[in-house]
Amino acid sequence: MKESTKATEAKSGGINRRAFIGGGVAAGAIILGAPYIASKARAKTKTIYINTWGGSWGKAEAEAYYKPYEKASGVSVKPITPVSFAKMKAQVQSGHYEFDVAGMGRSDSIRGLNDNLLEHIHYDIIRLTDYPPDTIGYNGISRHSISTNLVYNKTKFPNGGPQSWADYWNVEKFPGNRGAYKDVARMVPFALLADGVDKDKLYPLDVDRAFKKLDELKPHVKVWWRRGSQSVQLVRDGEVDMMPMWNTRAGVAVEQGVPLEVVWNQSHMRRSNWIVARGTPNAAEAWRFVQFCLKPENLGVFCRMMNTGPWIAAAYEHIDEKKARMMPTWKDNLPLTYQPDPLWVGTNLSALTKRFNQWLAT
Amino acid sequence: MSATSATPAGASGGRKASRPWRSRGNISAWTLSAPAVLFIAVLFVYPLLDVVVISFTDPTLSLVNYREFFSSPLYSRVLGNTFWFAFMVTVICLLLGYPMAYVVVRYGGTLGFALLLVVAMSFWTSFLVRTYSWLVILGSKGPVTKLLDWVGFDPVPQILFNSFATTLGMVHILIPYMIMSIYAAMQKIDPNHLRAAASLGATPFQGFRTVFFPLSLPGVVNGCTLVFIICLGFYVTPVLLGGPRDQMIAGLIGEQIEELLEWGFASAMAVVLLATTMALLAIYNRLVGLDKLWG
Repeated sequence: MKESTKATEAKSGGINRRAFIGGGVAAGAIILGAPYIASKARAKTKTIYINTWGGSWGKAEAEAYYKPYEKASGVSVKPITPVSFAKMKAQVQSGHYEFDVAGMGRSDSIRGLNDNLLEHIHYDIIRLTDYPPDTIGYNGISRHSISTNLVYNKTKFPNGGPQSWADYWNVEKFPGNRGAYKDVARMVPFALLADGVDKDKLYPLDVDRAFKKLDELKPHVKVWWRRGSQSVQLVRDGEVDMMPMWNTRAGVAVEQGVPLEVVWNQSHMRRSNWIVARGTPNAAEAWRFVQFCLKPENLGVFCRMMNTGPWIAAAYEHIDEKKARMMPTWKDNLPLTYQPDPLWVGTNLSALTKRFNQWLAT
Repeated sequence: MSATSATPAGASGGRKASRPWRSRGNISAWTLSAPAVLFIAVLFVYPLLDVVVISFTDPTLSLVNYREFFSSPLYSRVLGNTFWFAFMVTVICLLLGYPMAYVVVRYGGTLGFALLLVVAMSFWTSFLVRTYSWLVILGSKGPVTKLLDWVGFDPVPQILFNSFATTLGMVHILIPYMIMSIYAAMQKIDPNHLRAAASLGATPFQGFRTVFFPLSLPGVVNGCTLVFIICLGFYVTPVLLGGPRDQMIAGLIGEQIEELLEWGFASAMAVVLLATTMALLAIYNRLVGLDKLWG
């Protein structure tokens, strides 16, 4: 067809109707055939697809993981954004894979396992003995952690601000505008800590006790945030004087010049695992990619860029100490934090969320 | 509804015309509309049916998802809240949008063009950007708070993170739809109709009330339906500007799908939302007559 188009073009000295229609048909064929062609191409030149976030997160992954891996292995790595747990379920159920690898919180992994969505670890690639024992589990392997910390505005509290969740609850001793996190998996343990429960004896959570304590806080909350970007906006604009916030976003706010103090005491640590979609034809390549990403020099680069705390201690050799102090797995911070019990959260989150939404609405 | 409007000749043409698909012209109409019908069937009807099926079968073949929906006060409350909110936003958009469209059409010129340009520009700006701007404008260090403080409010009332801010933000985001719909209907009105009314002794107000306003109603119905339906599925702006009570049903559905992976329950919620919407539109049609006004 290309030949004939050329011929007619040559004859009339420009694009005539026939050539135009021919071009249209060709374009149509390409559009209709695109999925087929794409899947063919995918099979030939090996490519693995990573489900991840866009923006600075995606850029950091490209820098720390994708580019070095492409160079080292010849396999090309492509991101699929945004992170979607639902898409993960859809693709495993349909057998049509859009991505092979994803990062997933440990308690999410429990629900992923319940629905049988997670590929088992290929232990010929991920050597058990190469990693700290608590990093492997639930068909995933820990990469880093983000923590949710109490933060406060230093100019509002020049003589020292709240240092614990009990202080955050104490509106007489620490008056000021409070923000809260619209996330039941964080707010319930925070309430129990404020009520005097030891951070090592939190789980299984005493939910009734927690909601009683949350009742005390509710009238004093000016705003409930839900999105990371929203939380940064709230502290930057001075809407709130104290609130729970991710250490990563607090780091961004501090870099932007917001006078924030980040409290490490009683911070909530969320572990993120690398997982592979069950049944993907690229499973082996996917685990090789994960193994590569967990090398200290690669993990270190990512954590340095995003303020996430690495679970491979050697990664800290690639992070300067000033940065490291902002990370939840740093040796000074780690003992102050607590980690949720993924099994308990995974099984109870649905009921908890329902109760929390109801509580918020009344 | 659509069948009657599709065959306007059928109304006066008696028996023969009431079986329109027999005639040759309509066979080609079928052929021509086949791609569109196929498109809608594959991309809308099938997925929707799938949602209905999932709502009854996930996790097991039962009514458990619907029982959960109606047994908890939360979901009915949020559903009612969503509809009430959509209604309020629609009414406010109409009250503000109608005069604006009227000014643009009747007085036109530079002012009309400038007004339309402002509406279009706000329409082309991402709704997230517009929502975040409200955070700045209404915030505790924003101009509105400063003004209230200057006027002498002490303490300055909080205008952000409540239903007021949510409504304001939603009206701002959706009002272009209303203005554009009404503007399109008003522009089609022949100015000679108003001159004829005046020549028969109607005052300008009478002319507006008996001639112009009824002729602009199709645009009003269009605009209201658009704004109302879009509002029902919106939840990002309420999350950012509203308080904890400003939950929207779409937000809860999203949470069930994305975070809890409970697709059966999410589907049941979506089906209830759809059924309620259809029921309301049916009542609306009965009272106002959607098809007549659309003509």
